[in-house]
This record gives sequence, C-alpha cells and structure tokens, in this order.
Amino acid sequence: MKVSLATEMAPPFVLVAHFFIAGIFFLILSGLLLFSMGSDILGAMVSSSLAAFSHLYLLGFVMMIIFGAMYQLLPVVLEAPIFSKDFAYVQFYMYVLGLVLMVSGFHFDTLHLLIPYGAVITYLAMLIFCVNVFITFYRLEAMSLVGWFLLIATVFLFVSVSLGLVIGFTLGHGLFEIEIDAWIKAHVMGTLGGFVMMIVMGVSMVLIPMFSLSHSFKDSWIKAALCIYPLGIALGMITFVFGLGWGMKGLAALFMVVGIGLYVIQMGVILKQRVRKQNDYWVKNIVFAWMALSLSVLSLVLYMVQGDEFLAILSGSLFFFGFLLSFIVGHIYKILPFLIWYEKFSPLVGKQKVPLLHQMVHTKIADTQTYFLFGAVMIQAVGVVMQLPTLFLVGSFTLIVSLILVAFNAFYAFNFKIKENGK
Amino acid sequence: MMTEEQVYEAISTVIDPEVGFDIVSLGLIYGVKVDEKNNVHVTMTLSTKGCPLHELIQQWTRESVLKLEGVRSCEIELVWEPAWNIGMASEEVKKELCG
Repeated sequence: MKVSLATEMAPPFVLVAHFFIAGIFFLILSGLLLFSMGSDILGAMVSSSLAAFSHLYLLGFVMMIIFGAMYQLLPVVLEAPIFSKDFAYVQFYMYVLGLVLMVSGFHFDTLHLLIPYGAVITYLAMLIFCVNVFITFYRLEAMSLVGWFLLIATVFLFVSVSLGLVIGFTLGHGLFEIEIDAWIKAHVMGTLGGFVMMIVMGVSMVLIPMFSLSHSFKDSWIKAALCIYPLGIALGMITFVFGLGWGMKGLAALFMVVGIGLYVIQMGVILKQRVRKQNDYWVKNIVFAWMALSLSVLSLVLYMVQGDEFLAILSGSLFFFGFLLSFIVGHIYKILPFLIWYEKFSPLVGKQKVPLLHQMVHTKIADTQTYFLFGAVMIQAVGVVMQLPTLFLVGSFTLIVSLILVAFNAFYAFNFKIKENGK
Repeated sequence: MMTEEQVYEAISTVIDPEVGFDIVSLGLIYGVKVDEKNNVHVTMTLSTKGCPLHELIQQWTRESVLKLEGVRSCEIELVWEPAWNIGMASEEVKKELCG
C-alpha cells in the first residue's frame, strides 16, 4: 500500500524535487555571478549587475526553495491538500523561463529589453502560486498561527511582485511615471521583508521544534511578532510608494526591528527547551543565521540613521548570505535527505535495512561547508566595512567553495545507496 | 493468546529514521490492549504534530503487529494528549539525545 506524507494530500516527490534541484543549480550560478561582479557590489546599492545577481539568487535560489518547501509543508501544516498540483508544475516552468529572461536582461546590456518580458512571465508564475495558495487557504475551516504567517506572506508576495511588474515596464518602456528608486525599495522590502521573512518566521515555528525536539515552550513572542512585524513592512512599503515622511519611516522601522527581535527571542526560547542537545551542522547554521539576521537589522538601522551606503550593503550581504543562506542550507541538510529517503527507502521499511536520515548527509563535508560559509560571510562583511574589493572577492570565492560543497552533499544524498554490509 | 509484551517487542522494530531510535524506546507507544480474539489496539503519539511521517509511522506500527502470528486485527489510535516529552523515553534514549 502506498501511503503519502502526513496526509494523503501531499504532492508527489518529483514536484518538490523540481524546485529543490533548480534551486541548488541557480545557487551555484548566482555564486559564479557574484564572483564575476567583483567589486561592483561595493559601488552602488542599485546597479544592473547587482540586480542580475540579486534576482538570480533571490528568485532562483531562495524563492525556488521556498516554493518547493511550501508545496511540501502546506499540506502538513494546514492538513489540507494544495488546490492544484498542475498549477505548481506550470508555475515552475514559467518561473524558470521568466527568471532566465529577466536575469539575462539585467546581466547583458544588449539584452536589456528582455527585462519586461521576463518580469511579466515571472509575475504570472508567481500569480499562479498566489492563487494556488489563496484557494488552498480559502477552503480551510480553521487557521493556525503558522497559517497566518504563510497567508500574510503570500499577500506580501502578490503586492510586491505587482510593484516589480510596474518597475519592469517602466525600466523597459517608460510606461509609468514613478519614483523608480523608491518603488524598488518598496519592492525589495515587500519581497524580502514581507514574503521571505514571514515565510521563514512561520516555517521556523514548525521546523525548529520538530528537528530539535522542543516542547512545552511559550509562543507568546512569535504571536506578538505576528501582530507587529507585518504592520511595519506594510507601513514601510506605503511610505516608499507614496513618499511619506521620516516619521512614518521611523515607525515602520521600529515595528520591523521589534518584530524581528521578537522572532529571534522566540527561536532562542524554543532552542533552550530542546531535547536534542547535539550541536550538529543544522544547529550551527540556524544559530549563525539568527546572529547574522540580528547584525543585518542593526546595520540597516545604522544606515537609516547615518545614511552611509556601505551599511545598507553590509545589511544586505548579512541578510542574503549570513541569514538566508545559512538558514536554508541548514534545512536542506534535513529536508532533502528526508524527501529522497521517503521516495527511495520508505517502501523498503520492514523488508530490508534502511538508512537513517543523517547517514544520507556526508557529515565531514557538511561541517567543512558550514565553516566555509561562516568564514565567507565574515570576510565579505569586513570587505564591505573596510571598502576592500579584494577582500570581498576572497569572501565570494570562499562562498563559492561552500556552495560547491552544498551541491556535493545534495548529489551524495540523491545517489545514496545501502552498502552490502548494511551501513 | 497474544501478550502485550509480544506486541511491544514487535513494535520496537519500528525505527524513527530522523531520531534513529525505535518508537517504543522513544516512549511514543502509550498503551497496548489485546482482546481474547487477538485483536490488538495500540494507543500512540508522535514527537511532533507537524511530523511528515505521520501516516507512515502508523502504517509501519500496524504492519509490525500484523506480522505476529495469530493476530487478527490491529487498530491504531493516534492521540496528542498527553503531549509527548522526553521524560517518556527510555534512559538510553535520554542519555543519547540529551548528552
């Protein structure tokens, strides 16, 4: 008898694998792009090379993994099936096409006109995702705390990509008269702060207790974060789009900082209660991620006070690589082996010896990768602060080595075979 | 007639692939009842509500019991109260997980 994950409503493995494999591929590609950018990143906050890299990294890796994880986790969290699996496949292929066009447009001057076409296709792909998620939620009878995070995150995604589409049209054809820089900031805030961050917060409340075996903790901190944080993001986006004054910006920043602070405290509370005390590559990655997130927020606040552009770049660098990359890579080590194990080995349970999940990760490579990543983030940060392009390049090179090791471990898990001696 | 000990022994072959321990040692089995016709009723929980192996672990448990000679049926009742905690696990598991 074939039994599915958690409920009989979970999507097939091959669907989630599409997103995970593509995510790891684009991660490596974005690492190479970062390296080829060299010192460009230290120059200006808004540039086409930075746009190429940030879209490839954020859309190709971060959001690709999030979409895959959402299709896997939503049925578990909501105890309801995804509205349409076909929509998810259509979304994937449109998304990859749109992404490739858009990033090519940003990266190669001669292909600049591709940006709006890529943006439209990417937008439609994300719209399919939003519709899929909204209808899934619409059919629910009750909402959980995590459900609220995921729903609000998807609303932010819808609004942010709509802004992105307007920006794309304006850059390509000058269709709208908008303050481009301010709209880009609202778009970035909504996507990173609204969608990505809200998803991370919600998903953390499922994954962190589950993998650390943490129980009986109070969740009042995250409930407070749910009330405060999205308000800050929404207010921040409104101030950029409508050009509101510093008072509103300050209030938005305060809500965001407090919201993230509450989230980090909640994570600390959960980890304090954990049963599994082993500090493996997962624990190291997530703790480093939260430290990097805290420093990123601190840098952003300093940027808002002082206005030095390097502080914004430092904040972005810590958020992208210190927080997002560590958090996602840490969880790739948990989720990817599980998905592969489920597909390859779960039918063999009771018939022959099957591996444990941690055996499907090459521990030494994972530990080495983790330290390379930490080193890369710190070297890059020092490079940004001291305005030393060579140092930043060294950090980028270290990051690429780390990413290759992630890919090696993904390959290791995909090809894992039970040895003759049963080990 | 089948004894409860025999049922526990059969269920202890079910391993949680994430933690690496059998579900009896983890303390996930809250109770086993065997009636005079060898119908088995297992009351169990999981370490977390979000566990994606939710149904699979129940299926493995049922299959492990049904492998016992003479068992007519096996009913699994999944409960969340009382919530699982590490105090329910064996000393070996506690030592291994908590250090």
